[in-house]
Amino acid sequence: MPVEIFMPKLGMSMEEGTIVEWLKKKGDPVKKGESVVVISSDKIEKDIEAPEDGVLLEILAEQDETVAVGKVIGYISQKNEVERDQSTTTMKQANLEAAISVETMKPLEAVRRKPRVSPAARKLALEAGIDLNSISGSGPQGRITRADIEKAIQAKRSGSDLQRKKQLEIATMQQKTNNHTGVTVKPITGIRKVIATRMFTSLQQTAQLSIHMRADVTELLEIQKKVRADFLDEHGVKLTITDFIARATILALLAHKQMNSIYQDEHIHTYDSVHLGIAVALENGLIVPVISHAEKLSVKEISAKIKNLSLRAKEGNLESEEMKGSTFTITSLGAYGVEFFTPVLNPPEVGILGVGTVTDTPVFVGDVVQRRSLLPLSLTFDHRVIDGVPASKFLSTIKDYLEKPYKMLI
Amino acid sequence: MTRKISFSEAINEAMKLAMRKDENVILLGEDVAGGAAVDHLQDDEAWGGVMGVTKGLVQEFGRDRVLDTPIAEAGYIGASVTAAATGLRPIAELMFNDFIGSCLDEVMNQAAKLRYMFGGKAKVPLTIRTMHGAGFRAAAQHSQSLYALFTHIPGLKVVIPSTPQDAKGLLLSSIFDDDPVIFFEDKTLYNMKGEVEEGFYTIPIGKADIKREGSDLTIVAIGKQVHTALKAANMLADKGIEAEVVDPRSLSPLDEETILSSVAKTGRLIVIDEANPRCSAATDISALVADKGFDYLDAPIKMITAPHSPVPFSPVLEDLYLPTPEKVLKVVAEMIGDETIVTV
Repeated sequence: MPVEIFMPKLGMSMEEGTIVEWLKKKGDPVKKGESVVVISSDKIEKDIEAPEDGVLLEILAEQDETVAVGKVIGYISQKNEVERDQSTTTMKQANLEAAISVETMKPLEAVRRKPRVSPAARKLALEAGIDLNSISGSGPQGRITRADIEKAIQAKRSGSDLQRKKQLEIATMQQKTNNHTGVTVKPITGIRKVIATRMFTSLQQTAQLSIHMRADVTELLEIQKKVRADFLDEHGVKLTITDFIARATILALLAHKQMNSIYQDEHIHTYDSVHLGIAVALENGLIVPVISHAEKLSVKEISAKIKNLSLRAKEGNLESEEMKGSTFTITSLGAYGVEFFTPVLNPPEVGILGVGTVTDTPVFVGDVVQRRSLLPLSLTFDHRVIDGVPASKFLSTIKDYLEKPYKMLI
Repeated sequence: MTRKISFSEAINEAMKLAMRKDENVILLGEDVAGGAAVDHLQDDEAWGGVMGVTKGLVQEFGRDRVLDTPIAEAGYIGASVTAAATGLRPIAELMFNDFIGSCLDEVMNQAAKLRYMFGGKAKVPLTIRTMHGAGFRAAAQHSQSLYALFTHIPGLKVVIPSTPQDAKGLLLSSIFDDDPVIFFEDKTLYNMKGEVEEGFYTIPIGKADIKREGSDLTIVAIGKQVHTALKAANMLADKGIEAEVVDPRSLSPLDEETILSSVAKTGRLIVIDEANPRCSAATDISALVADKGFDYLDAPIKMITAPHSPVPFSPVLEDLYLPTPEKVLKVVAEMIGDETIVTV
């Protein structure tokens, strides 16, 4: 029985894919797990492996052909088979999905072969500021030719014509408000536009509210101070209070799973694993890299991961997969002296923890006033999913871990 | 005024005009007059060269200026170099360029070097006319195209005309050039007819000619292969591809500017050269464009040449040996990735 090779779905948004290259010719023997064909979506390029041992019987989609996800692009048969069975052409969703989950996906930049580019095309692209990776070549073996770049320049130009029109509109607007000098008008674009849309959607389409609590982190700070130097020597990582807060939050999420949910399509999806988003401020905006399966990490590993992700976020070197799929987010304004605030939910998450600045405060311990270090915590949650009491319990659990840090270590 | 005459008539006319213009112009070679030292052949019915290219010259200019030489290339080529160095403007006919082996020292070490070695005070205004080219069923020792050999040697000019009009104008330039010029005549072109201007005119050595204008592809072709290129260009035009055909006309000096600006326009280059492929005019021109015109290229440079083997005597194999318009079409199809070009 011949086995189909499908155009796989490599991401939520992928609807069609393009054959980059067949690595095997019709009639070539193939081994299970051997790469047979390279396909690309608009985001990534990847090798598709043979599902079975056999012979590449038929190629249904040639190089550079674009086909819909799930369509059969070729057949592999056992060596003796010659004819393909028409009934197998129906797509087997289960097989397909299994195939997808088995394959490891690599981001585009990592696996993309250098595109073939003619010297003339390369030079023109350089002059016109065209990214060669964004062009598909029309020449032999997909070589990018001068004509391809000229087309791209044309497209860019008509694009920038649009931009010019916008600029003109802005200029007109500025003239209208000319009486108010000192006003700069800028269009909302890029990351700012993404933030604007998401934050507005968040506040408009959820039932969010915030509750606040103070955690006494005096002991935690002592522990941190004691181990900080050794920790740095031993692990090369600077241990911060944030690392402990992250660990406390993860443990609290495991204890209160409904907080570790997303609200999507009128359904609450509750996760067993914690995929923790860490908000990182950039010069021009804000980005939330995600620590996947964070419950499996020790404080030390969390610490290293947070540092690595924030650094790469600031350098703009995050892979798109590292910014997806978070189930809960921590955001901190502590470094800027803020105590309490009302973080805005990062939809479709249903909770976000805001961390404030530690303040030394006189506190009654029994009858005695002591100097204690207090950490302000703000929890925003979606009341559609969680009510006030369970939310408070969740926040209390975080507070409890932070106040009794040894509990985190056991 | 022009009229239609053959390639060999055009060459004959150029020599006649040069000899009329300057009495220092002499002609020497094997059988260029014919019948020397044979009593009954001393007068009118001379051979005029093995292919009849010099026919009639001895009648007009006499045996003092049109000299039959022994079959001894080293002797008469050496004599021509000396004559040139001492004031004459000899035209020596080396019957087949394949015979250069017998007299290369005279050409390479004497003619090419004297002007340099005497600080410009000596000059060698010598023209060596010689036949080349396959397709004449003349076998391996009479069919080679050895222009690359001479192009390699500084001090020599190398001229290869492809039409009667070019042949006449370029030969007149060669004869009156003060440096030694090797003038290549393709033996299969002698009967080709074309419009040729009357009277004395010259075409500068080192100026390429665009034989056909086009925007999609540059074909640089040497000598006779210009016609292969033109045929291929017409076939390509039917498929909507416009090839520009550049005839360098001389390999030394080479008109780099015309070749490079054509490739700058079209982005693609094919060189057709019927000589053997290694260290050839084709590789030289390809290297020039890869070096100085890399950023113009929109496809790999392609060369269509003979294989690296002697010219076969078998007519069937000789036909396979030479470039053809069909071979050009096949290469163009690969170049632009459109196989439909080769299918009729």
